[in-house]
Amino acid sequence: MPTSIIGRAVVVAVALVAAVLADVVVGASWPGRIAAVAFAASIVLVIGSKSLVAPIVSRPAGSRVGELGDPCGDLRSDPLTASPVEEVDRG
Amino acid sequence: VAELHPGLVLIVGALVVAALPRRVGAPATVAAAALALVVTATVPLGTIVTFEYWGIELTMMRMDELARPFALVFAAIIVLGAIYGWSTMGTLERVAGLATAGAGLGVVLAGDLLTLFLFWELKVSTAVLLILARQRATSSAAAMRYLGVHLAAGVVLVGGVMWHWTSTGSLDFGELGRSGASWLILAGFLVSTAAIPLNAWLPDAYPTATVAATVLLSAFTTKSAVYALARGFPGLDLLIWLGVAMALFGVVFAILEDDIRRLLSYHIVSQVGFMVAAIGVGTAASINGATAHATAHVLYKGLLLMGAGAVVYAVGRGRASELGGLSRALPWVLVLYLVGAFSISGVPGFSGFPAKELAVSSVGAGGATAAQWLLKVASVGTFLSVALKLPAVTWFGEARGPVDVRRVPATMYVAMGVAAAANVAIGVRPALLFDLLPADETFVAYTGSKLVESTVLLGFTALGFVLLRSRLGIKATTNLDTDVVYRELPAALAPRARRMVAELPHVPRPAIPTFPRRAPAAAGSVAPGWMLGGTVAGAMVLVLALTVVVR
Repeated sequence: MPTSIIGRAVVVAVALVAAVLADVVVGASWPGRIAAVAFAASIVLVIGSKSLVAPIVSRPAGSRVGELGDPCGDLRSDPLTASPVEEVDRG
Repeated sequence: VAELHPGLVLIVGALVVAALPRRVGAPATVAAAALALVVTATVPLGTIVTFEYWGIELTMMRMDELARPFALVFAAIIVLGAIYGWSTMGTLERVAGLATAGAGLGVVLAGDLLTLFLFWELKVSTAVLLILARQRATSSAAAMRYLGVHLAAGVVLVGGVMWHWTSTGSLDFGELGRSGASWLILAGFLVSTAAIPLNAWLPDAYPTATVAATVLLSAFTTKSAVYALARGFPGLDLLIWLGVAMALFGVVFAILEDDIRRLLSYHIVSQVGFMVAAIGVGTAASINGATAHATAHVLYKGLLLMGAGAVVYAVGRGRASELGGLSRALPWVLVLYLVGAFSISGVPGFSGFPAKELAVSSVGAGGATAAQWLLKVASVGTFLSVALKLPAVTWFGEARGPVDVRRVPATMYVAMGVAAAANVAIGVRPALLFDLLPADETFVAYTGSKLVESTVLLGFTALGFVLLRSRLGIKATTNLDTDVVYRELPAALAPRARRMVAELPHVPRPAIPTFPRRAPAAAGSVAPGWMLGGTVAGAMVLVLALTVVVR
């Protein structure tokens, strides 16, 4: 994937043309529509989640709420599964 | 054999496994699960088994076209789960797992609302035991929250059932109409589907269980509730938009999530949203779509959680922010995980493609075009987080911390391999799934336009991922869900309540229990006995009392 904005724009444009052609071949009613929706949705979901939702709902894993709510907080020291040896310890 | 209830086979199997020495627990669990699968597959369509209870005729088993696919996939996943957990599960997990599966089968085969409720509560009780079996403070606390939410939902459900019974004189479990009683029953069902805003118990509880228990938990609770909705509330418009909201909510939280099993748990919420929306449309095709999607979902979600569980088992860590660089150490886990990821994403050739195509297209064909497009947007989020983000941060890139990988047991690979084969088989030959569906509707999944649409949707999602990959950076965070209310509120109110009571004149200082922010580490070892006994006995007493009152 090119690193420059122009290079990336070219890649997206080429992909869009290919998608439109494919839609035309199969007789889609709005050629390119699904490509545009998918591309826009991926951008909106990523940026929306990270920029709009995350500031509201995310807390550092070590924070007080993090400790309360961290469902895997003890994974770091926990082998998680009961190996046969651990089973014996369970009594 | 035709009248043998497969759920009871599993429940009796659970009791047998509990009584057997631990060393034969694994083969006995697999044997009980396999026997239940055989029994389920051999029960003929149309079988109805009734019994009389205090003069009330109850239908213990009704094997019809809607129940069959759910029953078969439930019986199949308990076999895979038992194999997966062969060398890791303790006796409590095996017993609770078999009993949960038995209760799940009991729910989908119940022909009346009272039988449904009894199996429903047994399912909740045994699922709590599955969560507790990890015996960690976090799992014990999550199990208590799970129990609280589901017992509250159970009270609402039984209230609706009794109201329905007294007002209609019937306990038959069919379409439930739009009465006050049916709204209560609907509320009880919706809690178990993890409908927002009552969804938080799911990503709270499932990832805290052991790796094998999570696989089993993912199969029964939400899907038996989906079955119940399909049976009782097809065509309820509210469900269309509730399902769409669930589908989008789940993917947004999954994109943010750091814990890989919690990420996959949010995708249960999201995928169940697809099913709920299809049920809301209520056409024969959309009920087929919901059923197909639920059936495929049990298989691919089981596979995904097995793959993530294998990573957690091998590395001892479950946060993406602490993983990475595992492609050389766990290549086959990656391959098998990707089969599940491609399935849930609807990649052609995998089980999710025909199932999701049927579900989503039936929503559009039923007139809900806007909902159909929003479900496609949710599909973008699914592919983005399950098939692109999670593998990228877990298996590729640099390891984020020391990697000490322990060997994944062969039985885990066997279970994942069989699940992957089933997903590919359905993807390549959709008739394997479609022939099981309740309505006799024709649907062709593999057409040129559907293949192009799916390929373009996935391709442009991948393009978006590549362009925005730097923004998807993983942070070690915990995300607050709606459960923050019932996690934080009692803890915040307890000191005030204690002060208020203490200030009352002439009252001995009360022993107000402190809300357990973190349950004691030993809670898991003492809780199961009283919890199971108390819950089941409580449910029984409640039903008996209500029976007497109603009579």
